[in-house]
Amino acid sequence: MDILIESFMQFVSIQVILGIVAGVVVGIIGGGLPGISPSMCIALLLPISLYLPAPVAIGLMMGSYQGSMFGGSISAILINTPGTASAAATTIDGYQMALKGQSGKALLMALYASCAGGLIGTVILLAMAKPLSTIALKFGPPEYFGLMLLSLALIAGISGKSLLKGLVSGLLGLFLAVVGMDPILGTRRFTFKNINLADGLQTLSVFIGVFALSEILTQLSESRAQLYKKADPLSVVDNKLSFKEFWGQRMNILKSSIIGALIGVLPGIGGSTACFVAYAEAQRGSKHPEKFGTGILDGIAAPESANNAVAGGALVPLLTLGIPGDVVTAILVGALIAHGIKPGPLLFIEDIGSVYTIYIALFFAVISLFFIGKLGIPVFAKVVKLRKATLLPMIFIICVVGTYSNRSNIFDAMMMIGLGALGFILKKNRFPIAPLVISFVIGAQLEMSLRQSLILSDMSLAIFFTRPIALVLIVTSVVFCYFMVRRNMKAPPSAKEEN
Amino acid sequence: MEKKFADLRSGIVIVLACALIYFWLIPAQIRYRGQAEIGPDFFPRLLVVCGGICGAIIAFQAAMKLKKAGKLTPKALLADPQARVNFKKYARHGIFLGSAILYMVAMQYIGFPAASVIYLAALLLFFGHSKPLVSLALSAVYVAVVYLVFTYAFKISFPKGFLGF
Repeated sequence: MDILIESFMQFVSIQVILGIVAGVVVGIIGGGLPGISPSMCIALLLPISLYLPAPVAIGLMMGSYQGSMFGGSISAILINTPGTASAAATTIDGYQMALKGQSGKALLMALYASCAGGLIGTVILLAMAKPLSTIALKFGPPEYFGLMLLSLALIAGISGKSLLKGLVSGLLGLFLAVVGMDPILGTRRFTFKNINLADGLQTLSVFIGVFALSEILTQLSESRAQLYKKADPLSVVDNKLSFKEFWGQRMNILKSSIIGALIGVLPGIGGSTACFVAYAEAQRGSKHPEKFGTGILDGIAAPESANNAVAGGALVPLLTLGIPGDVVTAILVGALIAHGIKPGPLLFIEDIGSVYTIYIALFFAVISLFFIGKLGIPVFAKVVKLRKATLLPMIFIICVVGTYSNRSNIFDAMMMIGLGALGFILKKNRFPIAPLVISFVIGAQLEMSLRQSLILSDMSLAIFFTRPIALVLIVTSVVFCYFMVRRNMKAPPSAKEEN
Repeated sequence: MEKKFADLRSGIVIVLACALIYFWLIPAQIRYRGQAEIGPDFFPRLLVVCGGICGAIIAFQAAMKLKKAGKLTPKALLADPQARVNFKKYARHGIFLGSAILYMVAMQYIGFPAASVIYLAALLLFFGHSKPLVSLALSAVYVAVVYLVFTYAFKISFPKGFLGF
């Protein structure tokens, strides 16, 4: 109880509150700008967070996570372009409401539903995290290997139509993680006698290069005239949402939030799937399903509450097992480790204060989102109008500064350029890049647990099948992989693209 | 069909890259003394073998589909424009990446602020702005804000040029 109070008191400080507010603002703006994903937003904040005290940095990250999830709905509603993949379902009814001149009402519904979803997601995180961590304490190298294999199995979920391409991308991520010192014998690998590579590739160079720079390169394929074009929102944000209208959505929001949080717990599925599942469920359970798609509040409340609830759910495997369920949580792992917080079962024993800090930061991020969203909807709507020709070069400078500041080393920024080009080539050849990032994050741990297990068993693979937890994890990975592949094969073409 | 040609190309490139890494790069870049059964080259070799197999399957699948469509003959491959990579399409990307490297090299000689103001102004024009003075002003203000925030708030030391900052 003392630790909880101590953790709570950390948030009664102006720096932490400013950190959360800044995170929410950056998240909403980033999420609102098409092409700037929540992961890119958090990756860009990562270098800044390294220079901040842990609670401020965690607040910044959580604020950005929640903010970007809501931010995606702004452009989805105003200009029919989802700012993030998670807001894709919001476009269906949101834009129709905007066409009717109800953009303000739609934005407020999105905000309230996002906040409610965020809170419900946090409650689910609180309920599930501790019991899971107790089981995870029994883990040795074979169990960790099983766990890492489960993380890799999620590649099947995010590979879209081609599992093979996802696998190649994942293997490339693991290969990039191999660069630098060997974790067991200390031998240098693929360093080309360059001292800058002795520590391996810097996480920031990989994240920013593969996500942000490859996106800039993709956008560069558009003509100069298209890049200079201004996005044109439809109408002024001026209409209100009554309490009765919001209250009428309570069951829809509750159900969608639970769907979102549970989907968030499952690694590799993510916000985009959650919002479509919640939308479909809301339509199925509605008394007037024929009205969906014509611009109704139900069609906004469901996806928006679901995608914000995903945030709480996605933190469950991250905190308890140390495995990132999606790209955003993969970047969060990097941020937490940089602050000396190592996610995993031991975190609940050795550093419960940090766990509480994360819970409280998530809670405060939702509260901040409510106030900032309410005050800022008219302002944020204007940012959506920024020209790509202005925005993209500025983002590039931040990419360079961000990667350079990590070690004050220009080599890292140059590596970021190379990795950006690699990300672009992969994208152009329709290789998904998310598996690369996830594999890069878990690469070192996967290799170490595999080699330790084999050394322990004198090179016998039986060690993975004679320990119950390891066996369960390996079997789960295979089953998970099978269902994900089946789901991808059955999904319609649009959903495959979404994946 | 363009996608299948791209898949065929990707698959072949992956297989060749994996072979190169397995037979040349790993022996050249991982040297250790010892008798460990699971040495530092164990995991990279495992990855490269798996990657090579995946690449071969991608290439094989694409080749089968192209064969079915009658496009897997040397004549068809040479005649079909979809089978070739249009490098002209990526000229802007090449210019952008090349200029980015030059910018980073220049930064070490003329300092971060000067290099960034010039480079950002040029980038704004490259991306679609048409007024050089507006681009320069926008660039100067933006770089000044970034420089001040990172230097004073986060204590980052940027490369200094002959101008002294």
